[in-house]
Order: sequence, then C-alpha cells, then structure tokens
Amino acid sequence: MSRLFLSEVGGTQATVASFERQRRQLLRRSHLATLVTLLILSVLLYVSAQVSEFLSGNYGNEPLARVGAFLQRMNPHLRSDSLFAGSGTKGAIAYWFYDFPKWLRALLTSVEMALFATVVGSVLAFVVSLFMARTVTRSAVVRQGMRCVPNLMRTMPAFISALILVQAVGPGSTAGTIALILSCFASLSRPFSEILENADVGPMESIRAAGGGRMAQIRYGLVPLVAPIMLTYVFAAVESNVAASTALGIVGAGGIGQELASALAYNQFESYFAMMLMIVAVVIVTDLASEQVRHRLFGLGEQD
Amino acid sequence: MTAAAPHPCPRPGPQFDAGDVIAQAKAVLPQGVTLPLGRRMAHWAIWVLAFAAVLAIGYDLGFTGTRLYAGLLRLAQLIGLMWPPSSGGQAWDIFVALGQTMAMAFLGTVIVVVLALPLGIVGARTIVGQPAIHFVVRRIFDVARTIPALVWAMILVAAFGLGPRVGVTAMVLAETPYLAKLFAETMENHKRGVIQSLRAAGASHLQVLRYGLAPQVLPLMTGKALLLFESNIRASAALGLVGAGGIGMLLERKIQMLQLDEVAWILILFAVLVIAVDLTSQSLRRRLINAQSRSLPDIS
Repeated sequence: MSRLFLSEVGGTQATVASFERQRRQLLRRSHLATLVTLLILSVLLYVSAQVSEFLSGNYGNEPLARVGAFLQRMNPHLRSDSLFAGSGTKGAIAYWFYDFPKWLRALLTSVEMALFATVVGSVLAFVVSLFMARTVTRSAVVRQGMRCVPNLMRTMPAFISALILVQAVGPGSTAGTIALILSCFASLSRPFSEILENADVGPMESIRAAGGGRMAQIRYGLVPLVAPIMLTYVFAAVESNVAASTALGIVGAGGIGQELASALAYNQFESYFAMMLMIVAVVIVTDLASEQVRHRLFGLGEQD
Repeated sequence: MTAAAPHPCPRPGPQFDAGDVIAQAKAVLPQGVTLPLGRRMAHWAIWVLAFAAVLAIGYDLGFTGTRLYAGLLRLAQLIGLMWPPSSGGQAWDIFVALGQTMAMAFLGTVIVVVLALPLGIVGARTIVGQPAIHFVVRRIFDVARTIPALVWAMILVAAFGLGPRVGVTAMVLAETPYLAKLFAETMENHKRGVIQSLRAAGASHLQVLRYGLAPQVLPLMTGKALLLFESNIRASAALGLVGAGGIGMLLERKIQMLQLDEVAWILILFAVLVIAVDLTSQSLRRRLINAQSRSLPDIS
C-alpha cells in the first residue's frame, strides 16, 4: 500500500536515495566515533595496567597458592564438636572471638564517631548552605565565596585529613571524628544549598508581607519545607559515615579500625576476619535502623 | 524573586501591631495559638534529651574543652608549617605518584564495571525472571558492599605486600557489589513500552536487550561508572595510606615526617586534579543524559 502511494509522488526515488546516503553516512560516523573511543580507552587501560603494575609486576611464585594460604590464615578453623565451648578450646566460636568485649567497645566508638560527626557536620552544612543559596542570601559575592569552601574541602579524602589530625590532636577517636565532621560538612553543604534554592519562596514572602523578620522567614517559611528532604540526606550520611568510621582507625583515628590494625600487627588474620564480620553486622543494622526511622518520620516507601 | 525588585506587598505600618492580634486570637481560641502544655513539654524533653545525648557522645569521644583547645592550637601550628608550599625538589616523583593514583582509579573502575555488568543483569528483576535468584543476589550485594575498601586493602597488604596492585584489588572487592546494585536498579527502571513494541514486532530476546533496553539504560549506567571514577580518585589516594602505592603512600610518609610544606604542595596539586576530573566527568555526564533523551522515542 504505502509503496504504491510513495511511487506516485514525484521525485520519491531521489528522496529515498538521499535518505539512504545520509543514513549510511551517519552510521559510518557513529561507528568511527565508537572505534576511536574504544581505541583511546584501551590505550588508557594498557597504560594504567602498566603504571599500577597490575599485569607487569612480579607476582611471586604461584600467586594462586598464596591466595589459598591467605584464605587459610583467615579461616578460624571452627570445629563442630567444640563449637560452643569456652574461649580456651580451639575450634570454638568463643576462641575465635576471644576479645569480643573489647572489639564491641571499639565498634561502639566507631558508631558514636559517625553519629556525632553527622549531627555536627549537618548542622554546620545547614548554616553554611544558607549563605550559599540564592533564596536566602542576596549577595552574589557571599554566595560564590561560601561555595568555594566545601568545594575545596571535598577534594580531600577523609583519611588524609584524619592522618593530619592524628598528628595534631594525637591518635584516638577525636581526630577521626573531626575528620568525619569535615567530610560530612563538605559533602552535605552542596545538596543542602540546592534544596534551599529549589524551595518555594511563597511561604517566606507571605511571612515577610505579614511583617516577619529574616529569622522568622527562615524558621517558619523555609525550614518546614526543606527539613524532610534534608533529613533524607542526613540519614544517607549516617550510613556512609558508619562505614567510613570503621575504617578510619586504620590510620590511627580511633574505633574498630585501630583494633583491625593491631590484629594485623600480631598477624592474627582470623581475628581480622571476625572483626570484618562485626563491621558487616553493624553497617547492616545501621542501614535497617535508618530505614525504619525514615519510614516513621516521613511515611515514605523505600525507593528501592 | 530577584534581589533588586521592590516587594509587591506594602510593609505593615505602625498602626498594625502583631502582638495585639496574637493577644486577641489567644483570648478567642487559646489552643489555636499555643500547643497544650503537655505537648510542649514533650517537644522540649525530646530536644533536651537529644542535645544531652550528643553532648555525652562528644565527651566520650574526647571533645572536652582543654583537650580540644590544645589540639586546635597544635593544628593551627601545623597549618602554619604548611606555608609556603614547596615541592621539596621532588616534583617529578610527586607527578609520577599522582599518575599512579589516577591509573589505579581508572583500572579499578574498568574492572569494577566489567564485573558489575553481568552481576547487575543477574540482580535485575526485569531481566532475570526468577524472583529467588534476584532476591539472593541482591542480599549478597547488600552484605558485600558493607566492607570499606581500606579494610580490604589493609589485610591484602599484609598478605600480598605493598603496591598499587593491592589497591586496585581492594577497590574491586569493595565496589563491585555497590556498582552491581546500582546497575541492577538502573536496568529495572526503563520504559516498558519500547520493549513491548519490539517484542510485538517479533524481536528475539537478544534483539530486545540490544535495541530496547541498551539505548535506555547504557547512558545512565555510563554516568554511574563516571561517578564511580570520580570517587575512586579520592579512594585510591586514601588506599595509598596503608601502602597501596600512589600519592597516598607519599603523603603518608610526608605527614609522618612532618614535612608539611610538601604535604600542602601535594594536596593543592591533588585538589586541582580532582576538580579537573570532576568537571570533565560532569560535562560528559550531561552530554550522555542529553543524548539519551534525544534518542528515545516518547512512548511509555
């Protein structure tokens, strides 16, 4: 049907031919672009494999055997007959987790570090984000200036600032907490300022029209609008901070990470494995708890 | 609302007293203005308790006046030592270390993406019909992604020795389940209409994936991979601290020896690198999203 119709129109053959030509040209161009991209990527890949010694480096004798030996050393060698015996018996769970109270205390410190850092970091981020948002701060100079601070701080990984802070305030949880506060502040202030900029200015204008001051406008016109959205970010920050705080002790900044480091110093691979399991447990518990609180607070379904 | 525009509503004059109005309203309907005493007390109690809890945790973590004061004083001293930044005559070594960190991040990202692609397909509800497989795979992702890369790196360094290879391995172990989960979620969020019409036209399963699913989800997945690369540059610098090579290892040595002017030099260079990569990746991601919205026919 359609072909019959098309052939009746004058010059159709030419139109089809030119369409085909253009299509071929477009396809060729896109194939070429794909090829060039792949070529660049593979060159980059080869160079990075060389530089990071991933392929070229000396793997020693029998790398697979070493992986096996490594796993063997992490294996707690549990025995089914003495699984629930006391901590003095080899093969018992209690023997494997021989220092459980100490590890639990360290893990608690890690969680405390994460919670405290999230609270302080998000309060700081909120205050600074007020100066970064167009809806609150009128001066463009102030806004741009304030924007630089978290943008620059975001480039520094928490572990590097933690290492410097350990030099300043000494090893322990204080250094790790300050490092977490800084990274939490840096990562939250940008989304916070974006939330403030996207907020409806209507309520603030109404309060201004009714004679409310700047603080009243923010407190009653802006905060109720943005608080629920910001809190979802805060809960996400709790989750990622708990994970980060378990590792921070590795550079001497307190928490379970310090126990991890000392286990390795004594070559206790199976203790390390035990603590890894505890970290998994605590991170999962935090995720579930934060999900519960979020549901209670907002009554929202999980996006997952 | 622009700053320069005059406000449309006139400000209330002096004859208008907000306090008066509130007092009148209170006289008419007290519970409409103030909450009942019990509710107010409960609100206050929650705030006071939360504040006390935060203070107690802070005390437990060593945030006490004297200790914090001494620490901050010393920190100010250390920051003073950072000026002026100097390369310490090792500019070349620093560039090489930065290159190594970049290489670790790039290689780690590529390996993670290659591994996460099949895992993500298995974890996506819409591609694998079996709900049991989907459920089990997703829970494995959830458990596996809780271990931070640094925790992996530390034990790998103890077992296999120092070097950037260990850093790449740690990144792969820590991030593959994370990206696989993101990939699975991305692949589940697509427009069914495109796939249904392909299927109705008689396309094979593979053709449906190639022409129905891939154009919808590949740009988004590439965007996720680019984001991972951005965060991997920071992650691979941190991995160096435990001996996985690159700029982190150099920084660790300089910080321990308190050569803080060189630390500052490295940090500035690293910040420039991170910002450059972030900006490039941002513009790439924007182009990807534009390309996707142009290529998709609007049927849902």
